[in-house]
Amino acid sequence: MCNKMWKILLLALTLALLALPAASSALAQAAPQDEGLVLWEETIFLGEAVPLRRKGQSLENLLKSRFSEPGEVECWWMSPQGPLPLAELGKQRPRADCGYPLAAVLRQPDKPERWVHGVCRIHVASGTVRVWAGGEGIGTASQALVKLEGAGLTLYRQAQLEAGPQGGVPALETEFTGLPFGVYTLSVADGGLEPSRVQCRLGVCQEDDTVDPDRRTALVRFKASGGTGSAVRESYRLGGGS
Amino acid sequence: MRPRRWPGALALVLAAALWGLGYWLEPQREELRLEAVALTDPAEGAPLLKPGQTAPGGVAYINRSQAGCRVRVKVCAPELNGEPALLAGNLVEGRFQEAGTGGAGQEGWVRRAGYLYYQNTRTGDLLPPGRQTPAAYTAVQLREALDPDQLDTLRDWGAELYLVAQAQQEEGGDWR
Repeated sequence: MCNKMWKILLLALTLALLALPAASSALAQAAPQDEGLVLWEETIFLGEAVPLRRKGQSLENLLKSRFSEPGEVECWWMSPQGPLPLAELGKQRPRADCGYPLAAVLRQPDKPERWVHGVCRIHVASGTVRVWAGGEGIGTASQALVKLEGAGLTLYRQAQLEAGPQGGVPALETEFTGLPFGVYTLSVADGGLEPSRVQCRLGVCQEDDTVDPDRRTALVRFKASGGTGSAVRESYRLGGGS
Repeated sequence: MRPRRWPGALALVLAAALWGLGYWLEPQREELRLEAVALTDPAEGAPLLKPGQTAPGGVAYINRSQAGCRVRVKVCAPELNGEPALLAGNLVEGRFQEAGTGGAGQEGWVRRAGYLYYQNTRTGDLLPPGRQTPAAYTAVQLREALDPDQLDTLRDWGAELYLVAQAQQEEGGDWR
């Protein structure tokens, strides 16, 4: 009896092993095929939207070109809220480096759907405005409150006395970091520096108003006119964000 | 014949005398000096704020000059889309009220054209020498309507409030 059971079990196992390749092939035909990772990598300036075109080619065409056969192709950005049209991706303005999952499907008559998955990788560059003030008006107690306005922001930084390189002439220095692209106006909130207002650009090309992430630093120079700022600072920590 | 020089010399002496008289008669303007007094101890560390919450803060000023002066204070807060992210004010019966908006009473602060002006009905708004103002504000609120993105942005840049005080001579003139 026991011997007979072993024979049946062995026969079932052999049949299963023989059927496995056929079953897996059928399963593969029914399931969507993954064509691998497409990488769309781009560096943008903080404040810019995700570009949907690069070097004359659109992201959609790049995805479509992954299929060598003709047919109807549909592309999506796989957002956390579900699949969305690629145009919605073009409205995103990331604040830090991130990857957006993409998907495209090829539909052909009487054939199974074929899929392409990829990632649109975006690097975000932010801008820095350095402020320097020198001149004969610099004293040992000199300081100045510098105001930066632009791109919907108003920020303040206190320029403090810094020794010059190799013990040279000291100057007032400060910097604004993590800024989006834009045109900024700098002024002095508590006097003592000239001129009263200076404009600078971060990322924005003056000639054609295009944005270039390589133009991420600007240096603004003031001349100390003898006054000493007297601003008092209070700092707070912020909670409750993401 | 040599020209007579004495009328020219006399004119020069007269001009110098007039200039000296003018300098002597002009009221000598003393350098005004205000000393800021923080109402919170910096050693306690920066207070934690969440949107809509308040934390203690505030600055008062002492007149360290020899004469009385008028005082005004500019509150410089970071702004997002034209709205200040930090508000300086006072807690009145548990509710936050922006500084200078609740009436100064006999002595206090009134908001005008972006400044807080020191007001004192007894002294004609002058801060006498050696005297300290009441606090320009006693609480700071983080704007309630900030979304998580704006909060992250503000965290990157630092939530700092700067106070710039200026004084004016009793007779008027520039704010310095």
